[in-house]
Amino acid sequence: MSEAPLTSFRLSCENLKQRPLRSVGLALVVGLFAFTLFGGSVLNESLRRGLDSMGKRLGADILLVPYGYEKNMEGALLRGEPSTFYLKEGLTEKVREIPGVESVSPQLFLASLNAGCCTAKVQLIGYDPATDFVVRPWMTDAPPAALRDDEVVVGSKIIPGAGEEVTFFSRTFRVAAKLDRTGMGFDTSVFMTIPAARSLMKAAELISGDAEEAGAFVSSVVVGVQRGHEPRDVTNAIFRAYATEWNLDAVVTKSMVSDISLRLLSFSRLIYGISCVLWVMATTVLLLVFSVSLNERRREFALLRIIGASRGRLVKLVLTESLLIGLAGAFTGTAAAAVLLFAFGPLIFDSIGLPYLQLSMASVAVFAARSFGLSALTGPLACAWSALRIAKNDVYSALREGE
Amino acid sequence: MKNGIFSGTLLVLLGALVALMPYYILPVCPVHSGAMTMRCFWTARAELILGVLIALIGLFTMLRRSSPERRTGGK
Repeated sequence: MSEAPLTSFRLSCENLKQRPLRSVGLALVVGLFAFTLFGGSVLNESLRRGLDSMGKRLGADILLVPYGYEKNMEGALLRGEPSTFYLKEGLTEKVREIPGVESVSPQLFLASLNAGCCTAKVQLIGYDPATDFVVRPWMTDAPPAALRDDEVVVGSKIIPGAGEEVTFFSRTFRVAAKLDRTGMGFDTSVFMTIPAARSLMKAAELISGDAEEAGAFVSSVVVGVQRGHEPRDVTNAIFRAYATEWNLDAVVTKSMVSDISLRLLSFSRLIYGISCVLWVMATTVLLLVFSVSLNERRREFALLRIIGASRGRLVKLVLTESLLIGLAGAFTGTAAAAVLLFAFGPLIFDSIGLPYLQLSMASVAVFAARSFGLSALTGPLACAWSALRIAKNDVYSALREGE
Repeated sequence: MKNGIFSGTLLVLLGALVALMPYYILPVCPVHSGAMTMRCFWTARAELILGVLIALIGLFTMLRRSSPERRTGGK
């Protein structure tokens, strides 16, 4: 048998070992709180940053699409869900003449690799580099002076980098530039010139159905609005002039971003609400269990007092026990959430379907430390009152109890 | 004690098998095929975590059964 001194820490460990099921159960309750708080706050912050970045850098104010394709456009923009829809091309020039319109650029969508086997899909987008004001702000490398028809610009999640080659529909393209992380569907999109996209569509025999004649259509027209003009008013003006002729629908990005931020607000309320409920539950369970168990152990504490332990020592002993439970729970919960977030983060975010930006290691560490500290302190906080009460007990009557 | 070491070793081996199977023994599709992340990639990752957990449980079983207090049958 070891001869180590009987410190409060060692005595607490021995006490916890005596009731392994109770100790593990209490640690798991604290762990559940730590898991929800850490995992939830990292998810929430990543989504918030994704939305912020999208709101700040998305240059387009209005996206004009064929009637009924508004949701497809949002899906393509936010989640990169491949869609294919067409508008007659003449609209671009006509919209340019509407008062309040600053810039107009056409885009041609081409769905690719929408295979059931894979979790990431690639949206091919034909754009006009000369008039573009949506893709260019995201370019990390120096933007190519003029994008050739055999060159593409790729999103941050597309693996080949600048200078490498990618193949779509048996045609090889050189990657001219790579975009910064956008948190949106752009991350899994590949941008090429509109003529290149059209020739791919011909090669893949995708031109049928909606499209009437090859070479005279685009999928959407992105519109930038002049300062001092409301996107909503400009949209109404475009609708009054061309909605019937072109069978138009529009996505006003400002309203879309504010809709998402409302959804995000409900999400963060849910996360923090659940965390609060779990914290109250963990504190109550610890309070009740410690209160009952310390009451049962009154004779044990009376004996410790008799052999020389001070009241302060008893309080320290009980608080150490609860702190150990808190630490074990906080570690288990935070570690489990970290493993899940690191291993399955991209999958979780993709299934949420909102723009997100992954946090840096430093930010994740701050969230982890905060959740760990709050969870670990739950133990001592919950049983401080019981610990103080046990220290005030009269030794003689506690020892004679039950005789 | 021998039982403990035997079952612990068995669990560690089982955990290693579960964790390594989708990476070395029967490898899943490679990740670097454009932007594609196949669903089996996530399954392999889940298997890796489960395998490590099983191996850890095995390791604890071995250590617990072979601790001196257990061997002498008391404190």
